[in-house]
Amino acid sequence: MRPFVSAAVCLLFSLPGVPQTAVVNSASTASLPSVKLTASRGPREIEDLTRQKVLLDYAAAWKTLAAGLEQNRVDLLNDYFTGFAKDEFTRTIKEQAGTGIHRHYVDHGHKLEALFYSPDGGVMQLQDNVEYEEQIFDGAKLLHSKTITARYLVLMTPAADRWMVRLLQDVPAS
Amino acid sequence: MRVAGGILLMCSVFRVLSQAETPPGLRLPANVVAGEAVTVPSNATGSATFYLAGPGHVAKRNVQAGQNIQLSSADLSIAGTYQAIICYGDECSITNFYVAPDRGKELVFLVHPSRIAVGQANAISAVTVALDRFHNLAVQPEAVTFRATTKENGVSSPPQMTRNGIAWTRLNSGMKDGTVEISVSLGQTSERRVVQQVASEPCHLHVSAEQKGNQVVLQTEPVRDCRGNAVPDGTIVTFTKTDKLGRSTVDAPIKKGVARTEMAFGGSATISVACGVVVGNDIRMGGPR
Repeated sequence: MRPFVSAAVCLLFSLPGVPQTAVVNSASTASLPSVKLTASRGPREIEDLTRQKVLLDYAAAWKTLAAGLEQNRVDLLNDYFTGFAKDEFTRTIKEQAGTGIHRHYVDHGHKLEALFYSPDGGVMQLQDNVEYEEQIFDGAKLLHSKTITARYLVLMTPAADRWMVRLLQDVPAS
Repeated sequence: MRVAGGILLMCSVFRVLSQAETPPGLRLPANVVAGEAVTVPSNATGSATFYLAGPGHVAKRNVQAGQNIQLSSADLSIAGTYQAIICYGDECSITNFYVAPDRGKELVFLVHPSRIAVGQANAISAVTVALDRFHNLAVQPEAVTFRATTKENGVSSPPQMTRNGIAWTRLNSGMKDGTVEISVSLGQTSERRVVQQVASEPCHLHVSAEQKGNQVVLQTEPVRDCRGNAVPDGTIVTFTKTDKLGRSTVDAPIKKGVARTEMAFGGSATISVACGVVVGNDIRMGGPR
């Protein structure tokens, strides 16, 4: 058990690293929200390909979420949401459909920061500083419209060919 | 004076119009924790419609004069920013409020890999995510403890605080094969995963040969790593025979600790054995030594 003693004592914490930034800006992604990613700390460096994939998939997740909440279509969540996030938004969309409510989002862009990337590559935690305009409708009646600046904590996990949003929780701005 | 009177009149009209456009908002508690039921005085003077739009819940209700609005535990179970909207006809007023996650009650625990060779440094990754009872990320720092337990012994890490709901550690694998249970605990809640530790590369791989007619029977000694752990059954051992006809190879899995095979024998031959990256002894048969 000596190795475990030493291992347990030598718990490794995330260390600050060199910030790196990547941006989704290619022509093929023109329809996606603008997303920038800064990776500054964590037990594992984010590889360039992973960084690009996370950017694309996170942008696509927001696009499908916005479309799902606007059209009240649960099926749109299937591609980029899983776990608690999918359960939560599925419930929301079903309740929206049941009450005749829908929401329209105009996405003004995301600034992502990678907070944690697990050593085995199995989970990534991101912080998203996002700005969007939200309009809430009851049928055709506009109930509320506001530009919102929010901070989200995001958990993403890799699936067969993409990163899926597993948890998306807004938190008060720090 | 006329100008001042005009401005005052305009201001009064504007104020009246503003009040008409924005009916009185709802008064909600400043701090709501996920799962807390809340009663909201409606201030409704007549019939109104109340909407609750949150990250994980949407509701629409009719409200009558003097009636309070009850937001149940289920209404406010998901952490995040909610919009409480009350509409009198076409005029709506909105109040935003934040529902904070509760303290951590559940743990998601990811341990990788599930099978590991002995004697590997920092080879086991353990990551835990603290959630409240509604599966919100428990963002307040929580003290978690990791523990590694084998048949013989167990050891715990010092308490480690979660950061944004996450805590993690790396562990060395042990020196002896068998299972090790990795667990994490938060208060009374704990989660555990089992990692199978297996022998690392074989050590002193040794084969012996016995000629039986035109066959040669090859068998290894029990295949073990350098720490004496038996290499798992099913691990492939490769026997190679080189003779005047060329080279022939047989892959044989280890069964009950040893690998065994038979090869045709037609005269002078050199036989070698290998397993993974480890090469064993050579045997020369049927020729001058």
